[in-house]
Amino acid sequence: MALLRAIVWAVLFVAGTAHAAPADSYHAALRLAAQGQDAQAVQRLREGLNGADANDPWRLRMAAAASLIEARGQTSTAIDLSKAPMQQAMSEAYLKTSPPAEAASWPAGLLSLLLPGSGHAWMGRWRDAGVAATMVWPMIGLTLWAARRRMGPVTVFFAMITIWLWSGVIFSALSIAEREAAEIYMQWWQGLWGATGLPGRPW
Amino acid sequence: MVAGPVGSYGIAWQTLVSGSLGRMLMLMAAGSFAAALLWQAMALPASTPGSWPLRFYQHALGHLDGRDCPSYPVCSVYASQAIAKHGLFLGGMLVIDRLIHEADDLRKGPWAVVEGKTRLYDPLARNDFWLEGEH
Repeated sequence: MALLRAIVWAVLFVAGTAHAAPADSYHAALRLAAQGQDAQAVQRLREGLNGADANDPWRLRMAAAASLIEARGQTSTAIDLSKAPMQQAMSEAYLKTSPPAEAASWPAGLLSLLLPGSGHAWMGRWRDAGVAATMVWPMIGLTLWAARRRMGPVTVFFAMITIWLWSGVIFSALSIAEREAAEIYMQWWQGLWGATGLPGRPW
Repeated sequence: MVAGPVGSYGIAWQTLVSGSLGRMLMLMAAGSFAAALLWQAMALPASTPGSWPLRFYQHALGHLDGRDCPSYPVCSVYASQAIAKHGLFLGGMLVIDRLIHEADDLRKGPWAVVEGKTRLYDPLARNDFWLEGEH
């Protein structure tokens, strides 16, 4: 009787761990991805994918999650979900209604180069535009004032400060545009993750 | 014409500033201020020469304007992180960017509660992630 009970427990234990292992790998990978370790998360998912049974639903989830997390690391909108047909079918409606938005940072940088502050204004950041303009325009004025009076070293000094601040304003416009593009992508990507019905959140 | 009280104070002030006593007082005030700043600077932690101006600002000058930085990490810490990671040129650009984008971000967030105060959560990683491929 005791032997029979032990055998039953052993069978149940093996069955339980066999079922739990892919889910555990999946959630452990998601925790890694949430900590920003996307490469390790993808590696863990791919390892779990190789060990999982062909009919295991976690296999499809791991395949879909690996593709999605890999794409996030590259900020890619071309996501291959062909290895997870169910998730691919679920995401189709989302992709039709919410196509990925393409955003470029160079127009903001170019505008700031031509007219300091205008790059920020173009992005709708009017207060930032005001600060940027306040940094650069008075220095341009001072440089021209010194240049008109032929104040050699003073002109050079003001010109250097102007160039430094102007470069900073261009850099800032590029940086904010890149950040906003990344935030838009992340919102789109999170929507796609939700649409695939994958459990857990890797963020 | 009789000088009123304001005119009298003006004349007295002019006499004080232009006289040798006035000059001595002004010199003493400026000297005390410089000595106070130096005294503050004496307590600075050990740092590399490149970070001395920043350390001097943090420990000696930063308290004088009476205004807390609304962001977390505060701008001087952000600046030291940016310069340590990206060097003086790119780090300096990131500092200018921080000073600019704070204006609109202060209306939008994200927020973090630090020591009981709600601050704009703006770590370096939020702004320099796009430079990672440049190195």
